[in-house]
Amino acid sequence: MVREENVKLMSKIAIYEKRNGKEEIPMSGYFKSDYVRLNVLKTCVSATIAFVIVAAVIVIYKMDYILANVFKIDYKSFGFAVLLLYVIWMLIYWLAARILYSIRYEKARTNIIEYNHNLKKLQEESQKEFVKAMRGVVINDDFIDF
Amino acid sequence: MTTLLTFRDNIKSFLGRFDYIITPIAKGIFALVMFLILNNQFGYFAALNNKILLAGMALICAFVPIEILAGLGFVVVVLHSVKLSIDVGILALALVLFFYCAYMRFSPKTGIVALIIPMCYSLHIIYAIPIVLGFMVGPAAIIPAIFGVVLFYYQEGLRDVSNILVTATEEEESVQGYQYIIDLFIANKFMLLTFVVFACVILITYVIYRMSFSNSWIVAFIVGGIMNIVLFLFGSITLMVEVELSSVLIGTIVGILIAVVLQFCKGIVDYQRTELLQYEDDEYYYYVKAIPKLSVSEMNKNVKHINSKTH
Repeated sequence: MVREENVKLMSKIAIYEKRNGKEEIPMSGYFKSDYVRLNVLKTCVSATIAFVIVAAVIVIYKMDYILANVFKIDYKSFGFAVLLLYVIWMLIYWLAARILYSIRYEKARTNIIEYNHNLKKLQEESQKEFVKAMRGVVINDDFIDF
Repeated sequence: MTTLLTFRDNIKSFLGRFDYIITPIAKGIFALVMFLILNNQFGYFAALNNKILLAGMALICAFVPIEILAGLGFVVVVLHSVKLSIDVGILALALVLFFYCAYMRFSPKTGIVALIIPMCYSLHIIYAIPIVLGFMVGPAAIIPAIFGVVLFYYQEGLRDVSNILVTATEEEESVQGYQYIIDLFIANKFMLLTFVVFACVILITYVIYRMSFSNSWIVAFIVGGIMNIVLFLFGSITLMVEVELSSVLIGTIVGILIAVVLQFCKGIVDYQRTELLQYEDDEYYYYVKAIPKLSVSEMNKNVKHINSKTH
């Protein structure tokens, strides 16, 4: 038999899974610190790629100059300058990613709590049905009054 | 005003009910317009202008998330550039990859803004866009908007390069599109000015729009508009670049008007959607269509006028 209450619950759950759930449900598998750390790591990789792209574009643009002065360039100070820029660039991304992913985790948490609550309710409902089918009686403790 | 509001609510409920049909159609049309404008602006890869291909791409875009639509737009830009010459193709790829790694990864939905900007240039409403972005998207739109401006000037540079390549003889093969475009970027002070003005106007419009005093929205649009005009004027004087004052003025006014209309319609966009769901339990397969309950219609609306002068 199709039970209206169950359909309502299942629809609520399905709507969440279809919309925000895709991104948010995997989050529930992590502690906040792990989630933030993992995403900061991913961000660091993509920020490094972005930095390398910019560096490559500049190197190709300045290729004529570099080839003409191959022996004159002070590689030590040049390397140091690039390293400094890289560190600043990464620091900005590291900080931004920490803040961004912490906020995202917190936002998702409330939705996930509601989702879990709905799942639990659904489970309870089906348990009740099961008991009913097996013994024909459901013991609901609300009615037990001593 | 009441009629207008009822009209808005009717549209809202209509959209809510038929969302699953209307959204794909709107997305498909938007994608088609975007690809047409991109092909018109770049247009070096004739095969991409194929009508069947365009229709196919628009059809695909109708059913995929908006970020994939943005990605496809970028692929089209890169393909056009590669067709013109390999070195500018590499530059285009580098630009797009940089934008993806540095920004779009975090906020994929705003990526589409970067493609809307070149569209606005070709529709001559570019000076209107920062006010609209300021209240519709907020500060998250600043970097995509800047990238969009870069994309537009890249396309301008590409046009120059294609002209040079057509007229260049074989001895002049040293013409490097890559170098030429970066030189253009560096020398283009107006592009720099546009970056700064867009960032400021988007931020100011957003901040005022979010303030809690009554009618903050209209104040935000007007202050944003004034900032737009003043900053462009100030920039043109200090950086010694030419700014077409008339187009800035008209653009700003158009921007404010668009913003007012969108503000009125904004409630329409956050409608409760009809959901088509599929799930199963141990006994049944469910195909559920969840329709939102309607809130306001003309029949049950009762406007009571309270006039204090009568007392």
